[in-house]
Amino acid sequence: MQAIETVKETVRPGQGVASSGFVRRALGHRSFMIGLVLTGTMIILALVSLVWTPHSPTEIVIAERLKLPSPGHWLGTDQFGRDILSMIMAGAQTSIVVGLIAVSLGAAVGISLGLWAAARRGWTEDVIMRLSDLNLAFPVILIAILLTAGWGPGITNAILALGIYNISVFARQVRGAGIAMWEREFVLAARAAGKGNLAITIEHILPNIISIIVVQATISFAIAILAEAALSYLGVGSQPPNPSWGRMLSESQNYIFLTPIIAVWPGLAIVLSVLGLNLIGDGLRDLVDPRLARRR
Amino acid sequence: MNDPKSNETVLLVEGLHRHFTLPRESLFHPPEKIYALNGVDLSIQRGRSLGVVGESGCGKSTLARLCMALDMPTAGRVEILGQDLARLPARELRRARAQFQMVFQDPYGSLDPRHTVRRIVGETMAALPRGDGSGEENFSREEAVDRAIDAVGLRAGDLDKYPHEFSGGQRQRIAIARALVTRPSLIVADEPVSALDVSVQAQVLNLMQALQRDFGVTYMLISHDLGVVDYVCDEVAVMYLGRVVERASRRQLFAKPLHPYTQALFDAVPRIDAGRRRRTTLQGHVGSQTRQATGCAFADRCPKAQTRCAAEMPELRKIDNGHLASCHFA
Repeated sequence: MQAIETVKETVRPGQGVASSGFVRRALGHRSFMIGLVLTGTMIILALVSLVWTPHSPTEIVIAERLKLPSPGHWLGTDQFGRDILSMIMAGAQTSIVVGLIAVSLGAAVGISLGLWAAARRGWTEDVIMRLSDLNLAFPVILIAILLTAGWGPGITNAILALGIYNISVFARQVRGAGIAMWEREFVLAARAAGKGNLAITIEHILPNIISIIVVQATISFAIAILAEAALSYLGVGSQPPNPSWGRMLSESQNYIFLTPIIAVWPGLAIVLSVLGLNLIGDGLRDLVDPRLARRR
Repeated sequence: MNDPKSNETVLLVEGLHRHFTLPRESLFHPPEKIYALNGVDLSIQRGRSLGVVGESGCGKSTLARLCMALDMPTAGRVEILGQDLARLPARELRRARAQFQMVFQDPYGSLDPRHTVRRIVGETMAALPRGDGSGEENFSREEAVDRAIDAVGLRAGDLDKYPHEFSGGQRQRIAIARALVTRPSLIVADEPVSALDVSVQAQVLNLMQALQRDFGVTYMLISHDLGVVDYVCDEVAVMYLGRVVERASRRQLFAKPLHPYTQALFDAVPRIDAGRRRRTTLQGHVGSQTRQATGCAFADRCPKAQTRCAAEMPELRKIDNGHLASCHFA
């Protein structure tokens, strides 16, 4: 209550939650901006790598193997003499593609199922949620290995495994939040206005849980990057010579006592991109909420 | 359309029952039922306001939901302007909703925090089936929203604000504007001021009265606060455990409450002027909602109860001119 009162007093007439206000508030949100810079860097690296990398990320020069950072190779070279900076840049592509597709697939199907379950309740909900439990009973790694057993190793199977896993994650989140929203009085008011379940879901339920979805999407994106790294580390994700942060990490462990620095770069890339996405998620949750809009 | 002189019955409730079945708890016993409403008869004439009074759990809110077609009766019927809500086809019901609207108790919960005032107030208009050309909706949606906002004393500049930018009283004005926008014949207000500060309550009640004068709205006002009912209503129905136990004009009821439960309600109202007085406070708990009493539902707690009360259900019968009560001893 105290907070609401304070917010009210700072409201100036004619000031809406317009898009210009959103940009200004975003600029003032420190952790959101840090997240934006980190994630932006990752995206820029991936985009630049499409047209240019310092060296070819797949070119093997045995004479140059396991070099420390130098003007020729800013981040040094790996056990085959490949340029690590080039590999990190190209690996960012892999991470982004895997994260984007896996999260989109999971979100599109999961949000629909979750909203449906929350709107219908009863046996519809039971069926959706038990299927979701069944899905969650299989860890991502296991799904990926199952798919790999069927169709052979490859990045597509890693993406599919993560996407399938994300369906349940989104469905559960959305159902839980959605059910809480259906209990609210404004839903009753919408029903009194003659709105049907679909209209209420789209106009009232979804906008009120969008912040939860946005946060979940960024976290899932981060988890997908980690999981892709883990799957590639295990050899069921992206295949050589296609660069991947996870496989760089797994290959570097054989040289951890010889040249520990080569394990640091892919690790750092994973940590910073995951951190960036999480900061963006937290920031967006604050920024898209009109009630929190005028704080800070 | 809104001619206050006409003697039309806006809301007619007849023999209304609503029983809820609880989730089954045992394989060997049938699931328990809650008897929320056990035969309620009510009617409101155009331009009048009926207060429905009773303690929590007496079925007031269930009654409101049934009158708004948010729930369907187990038995009996609700007619609004002669149309039986349960028998209307879905499309007709959606159109008919323009005629009856609701104001909810909690102005913090009843407005979607993500919607602007413009969208909240316009929602009922937007949900109406389009193009039925009945002539009532000749003015556009924007005009209707502007008028409703103006009628409840908010400014046009408030239209693009969000609910959290308003105080409780202002929010309830927005909720009233939303109910008013389609120019309904009936507004059901479920405890419209009980969530508000006392200082704001009177403002909102005055607004409701002014709107009744200007637009000829008919109100069903649900409240546990006798002061609110006294202030606004022409007629009062007192409910106890899903039944109307007393029904009278406000003047009659406040002058001479007949049912012992009504008398106890009046006795429970704190007064400053009376000095120390002896109150008859009710003993015991509200009777069970999961069993239907054979006799008078109030008999357990009634100071006047005799053996007859437990055996024989008192009818709601006319005691005085237009004053009904269901008590053997009234």
